[in-house]
Amino acid sequence: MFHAGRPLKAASRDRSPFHTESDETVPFRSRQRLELRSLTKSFGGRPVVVDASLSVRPGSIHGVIGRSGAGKSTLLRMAALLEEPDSGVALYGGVPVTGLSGSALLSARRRVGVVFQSFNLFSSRTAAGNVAFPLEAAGVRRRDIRERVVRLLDLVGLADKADQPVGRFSGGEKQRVAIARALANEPEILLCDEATSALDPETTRSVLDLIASIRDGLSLAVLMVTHQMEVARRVCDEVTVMDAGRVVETGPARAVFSSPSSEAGRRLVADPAEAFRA
Amino acid sequence: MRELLELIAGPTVETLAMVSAAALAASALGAPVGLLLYLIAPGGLAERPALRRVLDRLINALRSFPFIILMIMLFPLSRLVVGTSIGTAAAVVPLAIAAAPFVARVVESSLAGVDRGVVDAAVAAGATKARIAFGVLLPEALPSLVSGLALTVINLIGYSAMAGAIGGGGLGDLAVRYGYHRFRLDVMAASVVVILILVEGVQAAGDRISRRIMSMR
Repeated sequence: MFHAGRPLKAASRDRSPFHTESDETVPFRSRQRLELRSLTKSFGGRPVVVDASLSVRPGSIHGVIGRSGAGKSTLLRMAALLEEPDSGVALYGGVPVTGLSGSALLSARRRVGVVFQSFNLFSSRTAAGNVAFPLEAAGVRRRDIRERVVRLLDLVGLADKADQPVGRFSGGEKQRVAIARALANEPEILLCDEATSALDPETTRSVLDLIASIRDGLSLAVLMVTHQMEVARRVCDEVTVMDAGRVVETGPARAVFSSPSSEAGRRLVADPAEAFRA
Repeated sequence: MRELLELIAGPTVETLAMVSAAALAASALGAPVGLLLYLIAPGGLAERPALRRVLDRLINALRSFPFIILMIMLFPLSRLVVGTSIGTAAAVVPLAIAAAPFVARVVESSLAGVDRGVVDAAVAAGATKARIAFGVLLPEALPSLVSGLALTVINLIGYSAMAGAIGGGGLGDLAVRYGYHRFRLDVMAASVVVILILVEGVQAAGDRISRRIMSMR
């Protein structure tokens, strides 16, 4: 998975996810939207992620599965530029984004959307206000914001609740608002950290279908961390298995689920409850 | 009874003026420091461990200072700011200085009460620290900030009674002059009752506003 020696011309990228991808016809362009190369992170001397690499193509959902404490969430936080790796590089569209600071860091963060397990909505804002926040942060003009917010809430099926405070929304509605917020700046990459773990099975399915339809419609590269095997089975195109901070297996979802090559993968596939064990 | 009402009306107004002016000044001084304390805390958005330790010590020192002594020590500052070291206006200076570190702690702990995940979401959106502070942290912490402000005002009402004892006027002054020096127990009792009503009123108003904000979310 280490794509060394890719020419830096890969830096030319298309900001709009509404644009059709044509990676195959552009020889020097990275085919990967998101690459994590040898990411390592320790907290207080305890290694949490060790030499983890993976890459996500545009228009695909890449699942990261493993027991709780396997380092999945920390890996995602490094990909989201919320956590600085001790070593290793994260690349968006072939361009390194780790070690940035100041406005370069802020604009790199605007190129990814993040969806969290506990939604993390702004309770002081309405649904529309939540979706508007990343646009305000990016300096989008006020009159353009409203129009885009309406379009995004429509995309997640909540246009009629735009002006309601999010406090009384159901879990599924909250996560839909969070997804709309994550998509506000038209990111190339969507990172989902246990996005469905707080939802009931039916809501989980509808949220997953929404994410899958966004993947297709916007040609997003989606990285989805989950300990729910049925989630990974349902929507993931590729799957990475993590164990004790390391990537132990990566491959097409079908292959990983039908014949896992790693011990951790075999345990997870044989017994989905395995994922809940620390 | 009429005499009592006449006696108490003026000092009540003085106390209210002293406390509101001091609360405003203390908030203006303390709130930015509270925000700073939150931001530079370990694990915060702009960690500055050394500065944080210095501020911590300073605030703790100020807070543990007996108010009556602080007041006397601040006479020169009062003279500088309001031109005199006695009277209601002069008392506002030590009151504000005494309450500012309290406000700083109140603001810091209110902000610390904002869910870390919500802050993460704002950071992940590529927002600047200023936008996170004013667009997310303060609005999210608003109910708790209102409660904290009410608590500050209540503390100030207590302190203001002490300020009265050294010429600051207000209800404390009235209680001491009439109740203590002239054995007018009725005046003393009336002062205490008015102070109680003020405290209860501020607490009730704070709770109400705080709940109101919560109910709109």
